[in-house]
Amino acid sequence: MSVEPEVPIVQVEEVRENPVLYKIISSDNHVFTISEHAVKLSKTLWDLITNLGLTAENALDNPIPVENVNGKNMETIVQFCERHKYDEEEPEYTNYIREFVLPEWDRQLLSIDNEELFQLILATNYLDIQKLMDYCCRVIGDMAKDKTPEELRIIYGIPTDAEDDALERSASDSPGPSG
Amino acid sequence: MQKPEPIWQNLPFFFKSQVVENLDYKDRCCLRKCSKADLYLVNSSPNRLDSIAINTYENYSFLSWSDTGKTVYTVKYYKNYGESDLRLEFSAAPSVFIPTKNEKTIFKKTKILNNLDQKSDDMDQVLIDFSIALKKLTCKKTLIGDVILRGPHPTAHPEKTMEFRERLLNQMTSPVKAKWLFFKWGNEMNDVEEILKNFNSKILKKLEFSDRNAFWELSKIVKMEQWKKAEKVHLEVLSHLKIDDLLHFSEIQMHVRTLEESDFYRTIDPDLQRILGTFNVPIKDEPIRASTQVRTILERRINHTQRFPMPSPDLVLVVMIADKEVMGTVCRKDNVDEEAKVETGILRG
Repeated sequence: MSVEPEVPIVQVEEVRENPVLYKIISSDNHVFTISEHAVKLSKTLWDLITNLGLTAENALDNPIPVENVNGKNMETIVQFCERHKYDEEEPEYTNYIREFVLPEWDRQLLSIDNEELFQLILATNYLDIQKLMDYCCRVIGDMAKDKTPEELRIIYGIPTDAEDDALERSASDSPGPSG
Repeated sequence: MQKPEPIWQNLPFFFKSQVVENLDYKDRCCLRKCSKADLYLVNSSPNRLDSIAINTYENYSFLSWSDTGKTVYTVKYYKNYGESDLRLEFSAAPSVFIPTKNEKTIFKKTKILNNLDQKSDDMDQVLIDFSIALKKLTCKKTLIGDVILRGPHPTAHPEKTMEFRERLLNQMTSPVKAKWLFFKWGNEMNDVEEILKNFNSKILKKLEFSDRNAFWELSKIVKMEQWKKAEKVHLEVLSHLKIDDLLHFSEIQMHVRTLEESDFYRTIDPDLQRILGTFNVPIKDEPIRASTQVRTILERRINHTQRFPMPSPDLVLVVMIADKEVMGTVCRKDNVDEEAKVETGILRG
């Protein structure tokens, strides 16, 4: 499949030390270029590249379609991966995530509304990018910091048990397709 | 205020579990109150704490914990049988208070919960909360105490003590993953054994038993996996331990009334023993005679001073062994007291 780029949202700046670039096409046909080091942060994409046998010579001629991720989320993901492609591996879990403070750059990147964040988490999960998952966890977790249960219900949109039961009842009372 | 779009309900369970795993413990407790689904989520998500402690006092019970070791949260529970109100004193403090660098208390607040079961007291409440905290818990340090009575002339409080111990034992049913157990308890060895059984021996690395001035019969305890696999021991109890029961520990702190020099030598790191053994000298402690007050004080930290002959008959190697340091100096035989570097370790440290 060959899709012409509509809007090349992300241009990798300069990758002198690693000239291998890959093309990714989002579900809404936006095309992104991403460096080899960056794409390796996504286990799903890297497995795909390995299985397709893409090499430095043919990578740019064979864009990879990712039908579960739209252009907006892919843009965020590519930015994130390029930013963190040379990060050292995190130490074995101790209290790493709990003690870790989200860097300002990443906090800005993830300062999006709940709906967008939700979609980004699903995309990150699909592409299996552990670091971004950890960061999203941090963002969601930070929303709960020092909040009362009542405040948490509002922030996270959690219905009370009574509301939940009422919803369940109305669903079961509905005649549904069975009539 | 505009109501934000709901995000929590539709997130994948494993993601929510990961979020919960990294929440501070008090935020976990708030989340589990939001709904039945979140109660289940929190209870089934791994709980990591730096430390947790439970204790009961004459008029209140307390639970304290630290998420990362930097801040310690404490809840004091005040409730008597026959009353329906529970007073909670919740406070946070830095684990290390440094005057002028930080505040002694970060916050302190009081909350009163009404209409509780009159047939319960503060011990019921603290045990419930402790059992919740134990669910899926992995912890660096667990401190378990029992009834502590304060005052100039503390008297025994056997009923409350026995009840607390019995109920604590009853609810500790799943293995606790703690690296360090600090145990302030009476010398009922069956209880100690029962509690120890509940600690995962693969994780437990340090045992600390405290019961000042009491004698503990540890013969059963030393046969337990939890003892055998631990790496450090700190005993603030009196016991008739054999040196063989201690040899596997890399760090030992204990009170001893009598200890043969040869037994002491066996507790030294085997590698060091091997090195010292190559000199083939009888084990003999020959402390230096420090000539100044400062050197006398520094010399007091040395547990054993061994002298080894050198190829030159005028020289001697003086090895000083302290708690966590070993220092060696080659000295002229007739000037050992001056030349042996008793301050080396301190300067290096």
